[in-house]
Amino acid sequence: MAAPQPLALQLEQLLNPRPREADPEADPEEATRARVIDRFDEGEEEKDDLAVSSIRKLAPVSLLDTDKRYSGKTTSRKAWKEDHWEQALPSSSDNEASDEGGSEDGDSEGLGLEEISEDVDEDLEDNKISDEGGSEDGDSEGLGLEEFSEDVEEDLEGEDEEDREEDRNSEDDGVVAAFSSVKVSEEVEKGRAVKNQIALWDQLLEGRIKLQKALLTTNQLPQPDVFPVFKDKGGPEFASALKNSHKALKALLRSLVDLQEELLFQYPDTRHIVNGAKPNTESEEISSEDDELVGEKKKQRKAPPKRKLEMEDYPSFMAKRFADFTIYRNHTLQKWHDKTKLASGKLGKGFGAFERSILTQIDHIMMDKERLLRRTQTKRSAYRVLGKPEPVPEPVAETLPGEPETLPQGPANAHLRDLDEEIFDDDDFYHQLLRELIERKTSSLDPNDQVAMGRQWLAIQKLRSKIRKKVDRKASKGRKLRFHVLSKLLSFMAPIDHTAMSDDARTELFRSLFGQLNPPDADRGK
Amino acid sequence: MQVSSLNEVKIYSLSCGKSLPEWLSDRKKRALQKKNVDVRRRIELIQDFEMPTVCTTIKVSKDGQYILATGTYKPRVRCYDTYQLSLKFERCLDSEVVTFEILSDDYSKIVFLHNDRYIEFHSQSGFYYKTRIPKFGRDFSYHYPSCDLYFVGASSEVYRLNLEQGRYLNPLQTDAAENNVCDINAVHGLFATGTIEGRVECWDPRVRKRVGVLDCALNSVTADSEINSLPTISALKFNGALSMAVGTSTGQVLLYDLRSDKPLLVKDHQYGLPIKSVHFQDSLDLVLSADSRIVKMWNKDSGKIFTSLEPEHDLNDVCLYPSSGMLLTANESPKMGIYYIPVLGPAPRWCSFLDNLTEELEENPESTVYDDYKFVTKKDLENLGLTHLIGSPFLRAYMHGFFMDIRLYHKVKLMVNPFAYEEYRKDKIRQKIEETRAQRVQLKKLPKVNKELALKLIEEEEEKQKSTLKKKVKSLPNILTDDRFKVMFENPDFQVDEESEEFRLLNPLVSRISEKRKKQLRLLEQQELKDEEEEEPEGKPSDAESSESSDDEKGWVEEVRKQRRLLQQEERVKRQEQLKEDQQTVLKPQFYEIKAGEEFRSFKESATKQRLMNKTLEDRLKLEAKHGTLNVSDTTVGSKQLTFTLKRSEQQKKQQEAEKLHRQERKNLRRSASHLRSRPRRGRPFH
Repeated sequence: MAAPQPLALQLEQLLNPRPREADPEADPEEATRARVIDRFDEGEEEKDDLAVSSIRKLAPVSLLDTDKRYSGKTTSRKAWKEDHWEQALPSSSDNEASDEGGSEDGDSEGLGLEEISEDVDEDLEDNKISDEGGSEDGDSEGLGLEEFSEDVEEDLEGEDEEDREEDRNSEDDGVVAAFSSVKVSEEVEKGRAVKNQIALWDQLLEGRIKLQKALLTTNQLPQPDVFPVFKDKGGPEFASALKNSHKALKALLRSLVDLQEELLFQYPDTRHIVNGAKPNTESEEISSEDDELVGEKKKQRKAPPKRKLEMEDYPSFMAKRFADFTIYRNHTLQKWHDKTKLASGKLGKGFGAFERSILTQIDHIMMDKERLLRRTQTKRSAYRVLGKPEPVPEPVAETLPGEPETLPQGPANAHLRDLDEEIFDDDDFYHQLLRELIERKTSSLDPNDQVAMGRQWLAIQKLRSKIRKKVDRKASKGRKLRFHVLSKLLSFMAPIDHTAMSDDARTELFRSLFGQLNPPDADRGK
Repeated sequence: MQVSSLNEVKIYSLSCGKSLPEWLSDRKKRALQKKNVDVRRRIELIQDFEMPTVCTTIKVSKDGQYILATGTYKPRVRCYDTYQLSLKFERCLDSEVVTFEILSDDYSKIVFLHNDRYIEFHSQSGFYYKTRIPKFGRDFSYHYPSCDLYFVGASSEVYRLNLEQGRYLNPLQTDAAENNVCDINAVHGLFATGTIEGRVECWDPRVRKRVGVLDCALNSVTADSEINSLPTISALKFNGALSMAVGTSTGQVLLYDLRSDKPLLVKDHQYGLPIKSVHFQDSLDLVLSADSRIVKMWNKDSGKIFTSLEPEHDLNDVCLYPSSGMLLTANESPKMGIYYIPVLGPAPRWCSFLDNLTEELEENPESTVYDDYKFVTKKDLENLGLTHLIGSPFLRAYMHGFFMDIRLYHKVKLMVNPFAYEEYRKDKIRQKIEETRAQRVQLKKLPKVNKELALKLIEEEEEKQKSTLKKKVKSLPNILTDDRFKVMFENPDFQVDEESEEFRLLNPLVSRISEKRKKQLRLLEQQELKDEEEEEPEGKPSDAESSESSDDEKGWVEEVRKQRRLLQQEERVKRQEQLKEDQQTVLKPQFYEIKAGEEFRSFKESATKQRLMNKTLEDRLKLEAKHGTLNVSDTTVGSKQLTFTLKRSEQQKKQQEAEKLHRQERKNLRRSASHLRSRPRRGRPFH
């Protein structure tokens, strides 16, 4: 712990606010250094005041930034307290024990079995260890976004100490970059986050697509009414296959539950769901011993899923988990809904009265639970359920005598609806997801190309039409005077001059024509 | 040939009269000429001088030998040889001709301006070349010194086509939107074009510059006329070196001297129709201006009207045969007009006989004969009551009276004299009387032949003049038939004599007879003398007559006696009738009384019957005995006998009386029968 402490101190010294604080307080700090060594509490209080002043100075930048820094600083102080308590006082360990007891009580209330409570305790210990790690990271970090990115990196890589050290080094680099270009980095990180989210969504869709095949096959499996017949007739092969599938399903359930727990645990806001503890307790754990405990707890974590082999316990487990998660879910949905409203503030104001909150909409939809269940239990595609050969020949028999087609369709639909209970079929929702996916991808590529091609084609056609316009059409049918020699009319007539007046006489007459004067003649002649 | 004279100027219309259709053969045409007088009398100056439907333009070649005309339908051009007075050739074209020009002296070079922008050149053999101008053309002129054709039309440009170089030249750019007409002066070659804005632009062909602009619209409008439309130039014609005539679309003709912008004279047609063509006639200083209705000839210096020509159909073009008084017109009708006005000039050389015809017509004016009219004086009109017709077309004033139609005169006269028929009747009667008077001469001779008859007639006349007429009527047939004559004469004589004898004594009768015999003798003597003079056969019948007369006298006596008896019988019958009548008169009043009484009795009887019923049988028998209906008689044996007699009813009584009256009436009828019996007795002796 001594080794990391000096590094932490060095990092703290390198942070932005401290150099500013050191400069004006250099002289008084020298006098107060003696006091600090003597009076630890007083020093802390003074720092708090300075921090407040710094927050006020940073207010014009943005509220989010101020919130993030505030959250970071608060975590750093607690960390410091915890460090000192662990080194000097043993009473801190007692507090931890009291917290553990509270969690145990909650678990016991929820579950009736002692074994489960023991497992939960182990999980909580692991969580504490992980929380301590998170707090340390938080102390080092100055921005919320960095926290998120670091968490993701840690989760992806692993839980080795060396990796953690490397991560810290990378964190330092990030901090430096952020310090140099805060705004640009923020935007870039936002973009990356969005990309990651889209990638995750695509992967989920791929998983859903693959699950669709499994879903169809499961719907075709024999139902409990007919299952004993299959067992009797199946023989040893059927029994062995059944056992294998049973084992595989159990393994699948375990892996899914583990995945869910890891995902919830990684995100700080959702850890309490897994541990069942308060966020305050999480932040207190920081020591290396805690880290070791975390490792142990994790090992112990893996043990409880093994113990959870019983299939009967899963429904109650899932129900409890869902109940715990709904609070977080509602909170998140409301937050983002409000943000979108603010983004389109003007429009929102105009139509705010008509809009209802998402939570009310969801509640309204979920009120009619029977309808939703009926939709999932409706047979939407053509497939045959094993163990039900009887209803199939009935429509065939009806069609054979030559009756109208409408009649057999009626009973067919009726059969489809009758098969509701043992089936889970959500093809309508599945198709909708596929349609959206296809539209998104096609809109990004193909339509643009087609539209562009069309536009280019139109432009070319216009140019062609312009070219045609250049043709001189008036020349045809003699509508334009052409000065070509008409061979036929060549020498058709010969000049004959019978005029009696001379040129001079004519000129004089034309000048004085209709009593005109010389100048107007010239002007008009021109 | 028709003659019309306006303002003492005679105009001979040589194209009037009926025309024969082309599809008739020559034989049929000759036959028609023989039969139909109208066809025979017509003068066809030029054969086939017509177009199928309408003629649009007509022109004469410079040498005067050929007349060319264009028309439709189908669009065609026809050439007439004046020396042969017939059609020379006919060429069909692709479209109608707006105007054409003969460039050579004969028909060998012709230029047509079509209404579809084409310009067609014809040579002696026919079609030669065809070309087009950018806009529709309306008129063109040929400039001989430079071989330029100037085309004006629906554009501001005047297109020039040189016929020596065989190509188009740069057009003349005028200020007008459109040009309607153009003309080139033959003396100095000035080119003038009439525009749609009512101006005349003059161009010098030598330098192709505009040398003058003349505003005619303002001058054509007079103080009296109102401006309804813009007077565009519709006709243009040069005359000599300094004169120019401009026709406007509002019907005015303006004469200009090229040296002044004010017109010398403005002549208004007063029809408001555009002027089609203007011509100059130099010998009499006349201007011929034509619109679609009339051709006016007026003096170019004073504007005084010389004469005018107003054909039946609208005019499309007018052409004056050069140096003559002949006028050719293109009409809105198949026939083209030929008019000869001797005053303007002599007839062309190829129809010099027209002068002789016109001279003869003048020398021998036809005298008017009023065969169908009656001359009536004012007095006659007053008598007829027709004074109110004076001034109406029924009466035509002449000398001291009026001419009126004979038919009208006769009708009116009949109405005015209602007694004409009676006069006619009287005249007829007088004629018949005169005829009868001639016959009376014969009657005088007859008594000479019959001496006895003559004596008898004389006696009858002396006795009764009135009866003489009746006898005369009878005597006439007696003369014809001698036997009947004698018989008839005797009977009436006897009747009359009988009456007179009864009233008078028998002796005078005898005396009279003797006197008669004496007279007879005297007459006989005279007759003997006459008989000797006359022929012998006349004497024989006189002897026969005398013998017969003696026989008749005996019968006569018997008849007299019979008549006396008849008279007596008649008297008796009359007396009986009178008595019967008296009886009848007596019965009638009794009849009335009885009726009244009967009614009275009927009431009493009813009352009495009731009383009788109440009484006993004895009482009834007593009453009946009183009345007489009951008869009681005692027989010898000792028994009594009762006899009842029934009462007669009123009806039976009436019937009996009616029968009596009927019998009396029959007796009266019997009397008439008795008369009939007496008459045939007279007839027996005749047989």
